[in-house]
Amino acid sequence: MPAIMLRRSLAGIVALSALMPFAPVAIDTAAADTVSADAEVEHYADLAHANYADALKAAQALNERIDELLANPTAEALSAAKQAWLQARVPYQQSEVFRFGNAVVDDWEGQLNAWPLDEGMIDYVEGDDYQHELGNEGATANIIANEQITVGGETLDVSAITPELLADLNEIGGSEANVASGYHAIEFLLWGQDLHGFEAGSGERPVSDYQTGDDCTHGHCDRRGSYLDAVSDLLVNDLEWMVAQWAPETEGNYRQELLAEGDQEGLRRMLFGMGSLSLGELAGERLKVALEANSFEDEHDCFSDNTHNSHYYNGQGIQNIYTGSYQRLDGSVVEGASLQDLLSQQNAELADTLHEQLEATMARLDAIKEAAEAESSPMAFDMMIAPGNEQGSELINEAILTLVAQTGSIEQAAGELGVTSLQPDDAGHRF
Amino acid sequence: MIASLRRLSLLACALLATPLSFATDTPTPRDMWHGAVELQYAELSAASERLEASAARFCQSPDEALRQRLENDWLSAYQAWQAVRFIQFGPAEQNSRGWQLQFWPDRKNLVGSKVRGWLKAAEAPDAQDIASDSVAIQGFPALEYLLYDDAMDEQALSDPAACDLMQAITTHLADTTTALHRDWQAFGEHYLETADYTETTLASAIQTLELLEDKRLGEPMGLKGAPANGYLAEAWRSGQTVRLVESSLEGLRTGFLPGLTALLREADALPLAEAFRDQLDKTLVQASELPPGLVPSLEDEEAFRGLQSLYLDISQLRHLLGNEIAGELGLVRGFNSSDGD
Repeated sequence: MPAIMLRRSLAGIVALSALMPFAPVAIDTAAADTVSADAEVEHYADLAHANYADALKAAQALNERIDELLANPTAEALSAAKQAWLQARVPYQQSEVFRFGNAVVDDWEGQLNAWPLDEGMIDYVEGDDYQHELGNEGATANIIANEQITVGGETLDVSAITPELLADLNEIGGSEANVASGYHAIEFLLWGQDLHGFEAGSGERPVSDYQTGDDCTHGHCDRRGSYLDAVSDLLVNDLEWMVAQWAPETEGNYRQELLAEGDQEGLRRMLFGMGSLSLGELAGERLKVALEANSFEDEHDCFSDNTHNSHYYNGQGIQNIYTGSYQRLDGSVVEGASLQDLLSQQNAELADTLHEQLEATMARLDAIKEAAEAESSPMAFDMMIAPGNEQGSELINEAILTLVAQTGSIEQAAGELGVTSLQPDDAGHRF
Repeated sequence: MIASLRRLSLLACALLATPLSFATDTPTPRDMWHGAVELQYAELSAASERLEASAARFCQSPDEALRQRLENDWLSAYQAWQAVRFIQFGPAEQNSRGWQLQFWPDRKNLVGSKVRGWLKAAEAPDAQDIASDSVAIQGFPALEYLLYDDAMDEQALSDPAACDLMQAITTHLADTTTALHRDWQAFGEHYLETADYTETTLASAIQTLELLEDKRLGEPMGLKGAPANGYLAEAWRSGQTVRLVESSLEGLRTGFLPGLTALLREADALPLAEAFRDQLDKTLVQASELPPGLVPSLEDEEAFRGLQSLYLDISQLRHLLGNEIAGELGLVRGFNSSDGD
């Protein structure tokens, strides 16, 4: 896998040097102060490739920690697996900006990041506090405890838990809450249900859920282990596929298709992704619904209480597209033609405004992250959305406002760049 | 969200330049919308106050007649909200008032868990407690749970815990709708002066029809790629799903159509207004002939065909407004809100 990670396309390098005045090749071509939309889209594909390559690398590390946990289920091994999961979210959440606008991602991501999930489909849950989707027959199927489950009048053999089976089971019975795979299924299998409601504390699954013989708690430890093993293998497989879609010089992959569409369509997809993630998804589904409904069922990383980071890195992903830079897990930075430079050529004032708005959003998301990770009396996202928590709701509302503001400028930027038919996905919400 | 509308902006400029006498003689489309919506908010506020009084009367001396009246008043107020729900901007979006009145869709039954939470609370809430809690406890669906949910078979509505909760919610609801009405009046000057609100109003009505087609009917009926699921319908507990749809259509007839007609007359496209009116009337007739609920019709072939006809009528109405009329007026609405997700 490192081979994919380190490879950067020739075109990517050219685009990169075009932006650096000190790069010898760039000066003669006058590219130092002119950004072409073509270079922009090419670099967008490079960003996606680097981002998914990091997501894959982090998922492979997670998969290794999980294998170690299953071979030797100790508290330390469980803790190491959880750390690897948290790390894996950093690149993945940044990559979500590629989801909207690129159907290849949107059609695929349900198997990786679907939420909220009816976790009772996977494993045991505590009945009193378990809220599942109304009318979802799969909500209490408990695949780990049963070799056969019945959903939608259909009886399914789930005796052998394999990556293929989990892929087939995802969204079974037509319910999006039947999430059999992906980050949140793994999160549930590592942390367990968060039974603390609006109080401090996340899921507290004991490591003994993976031990054998008499040490096994909650039954079916062998099947639980098989599930965790299969679901993390599937995550790696899925990410490998997506890395290949964005890899340079690969016949018939999505990157080639995107570049063949022309620069206007490429810009449209970039801006659509930024606007949709800003408004409908992050400000709407992930912040506003959770806050206004005071609903920890609508918390993104609800088992691990890592929601603040998921939101933070969503915001970072949007900013990455604008600045044309992405900081990789190894600390190196992928840089190149930026949307900001392209926009500056049309409307310098708007380019500066959008830059400042994205900075303001990151500052608000960082304030949420700081509050959640504070050493003394931390306030996790599920505490912020508690009824009557004014400080928490202010933190969230400020982030919503800056996200709404940047969406307005993203719309204007689209107009300046000649992108028509842009309407961000607001997921049915208005502000 | 705000689409550009070049021809309408030109039109608006032309209107601003028209002599005063003309402007006073002929109300502008936004004048007509503002006035009609004001009446709709007034009705919503009045109906909510009747509901609040009705809840108080029932709790004072619970009997079957007062309960029947309470249910009727709940439905009337809920329908008054449906009628003006097509205004999704301005005072309705302040403090998420739309969600306060109706938190929907509610896939995970948050309404149920919030109501059950308060029913178990040591102390009954007052309107202030309701105001600072989840939008899921503040609106018509929470009251619907108290009036109709199966779980209430085991607990009489007249029990102090349930009655106090119901009264706190109805008081909060009356406060919210009164504020909404007052704020719409105060919003008038800004609305009338700002040309962009013409396109905002149109876009809001188009979105209302899209919501009707896709979410309020299509998804629960199983027409959107997943099997039918009655829990996705509005008002499934009371079985009034279709009545609420009908009220939204009636609200478009009284609140939206007159302003739209004026706008299309100015654009010299009156036949489109007539086509929209005819299709709206046809759809209204279809809705009024159906049974009030949606869920029972999922199991009944003939009743389901009736729902399908309504769905198709609404789909045509949406096409007329969202494509033909929007196109005629130059309203650019790129892709719709379901794209990308």
